Amino acid sequence: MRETGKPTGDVWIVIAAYQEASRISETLRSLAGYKTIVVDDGSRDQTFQVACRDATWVLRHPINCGQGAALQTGIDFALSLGAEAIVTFDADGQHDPADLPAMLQPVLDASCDVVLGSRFQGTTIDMPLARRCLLRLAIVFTRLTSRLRISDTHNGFRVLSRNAAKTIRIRQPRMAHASEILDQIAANGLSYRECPVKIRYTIETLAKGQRASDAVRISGQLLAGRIWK
Amino acid sequence: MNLFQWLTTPVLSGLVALELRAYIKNRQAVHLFRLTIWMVGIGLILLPGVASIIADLLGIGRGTDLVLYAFMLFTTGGLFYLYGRNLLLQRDVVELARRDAFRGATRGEGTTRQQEEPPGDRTANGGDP
Repeated sequence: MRETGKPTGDVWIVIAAYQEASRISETLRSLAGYKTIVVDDGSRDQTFQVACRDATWVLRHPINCGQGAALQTGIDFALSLGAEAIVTFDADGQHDPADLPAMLQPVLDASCDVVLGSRFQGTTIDMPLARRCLLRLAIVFTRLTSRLRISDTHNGFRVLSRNAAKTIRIRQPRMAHASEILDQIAANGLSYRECPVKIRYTIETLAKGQRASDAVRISGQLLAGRIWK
Repeated sequence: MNLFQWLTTPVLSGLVALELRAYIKNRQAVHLFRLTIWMVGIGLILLPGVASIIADLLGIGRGTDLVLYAFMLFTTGGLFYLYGRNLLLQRDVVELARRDAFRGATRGEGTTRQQEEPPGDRTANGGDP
């Protein structure tokens, strides 16, 4: 539910969802009061039908294109609706809506273009050690490639101003999009800030999350994306 | 000429003729490239000693090693090219899926009702309504 410090401005929350029929409803209900756009990324379960009950807008990719592609679709749609601030939020309930007002405020008062959620500045619940190590490795990688000094590189909880959303173009359709967004923030000189957030891990979210082997794949995708622009 | 040379040379010559005809018709560099490959193939099959001479000049030693290295280089280059093509194709597919999603945008029954009309089929990058 919306907390105190209620943000003003046209805020849209973009949620990319794939096979999330069992969890998307709870996530959307926790965001009651916010305008939400769910992009069903070609799910074969009832994600689309369930999302239609609780979201403001629901879009559906005819095939599974990847989280990055789904987010870009949602961002494009939010821009076309006149969004002033766009939030990217995970469908699986990992993120805490209570963090939203603090995340939104810097963008809504125009003090920065992008706010990035940081679980390492905030709190994590039931985060496995392997995941912690993997994310720390990703931080080192990002600091080397993007030269952004941030504490959490693969957090799906972000707020983009309208200007940032129009500037950033996600071309990495799958998991490498998180690094690509950071690259584009740096390349385009967008101002950014980190905000502490809470991330809750469950068996289900961990099952869908990234594995250590994905780090190699993501690095390869990023490299390929730089070669074939 | 041995049996292998008798079998492969006519096939490769046919491919040379096809590529030559395609090049004359379309004037595309890719046909010239393939033409060169087939002609080099014919040359190396008919004159195996040439590969050894070139290998010797390059310090590789044996002609068979030269052919193997060249094959590895071309295979790697080919895979690299195909990966790039696949990546670009994937982007096109995503763009098509995105347009389809825009066309089929559905108003949900969420608690916050907005008055905006569906934005319809918009091009990438969103843009103002």
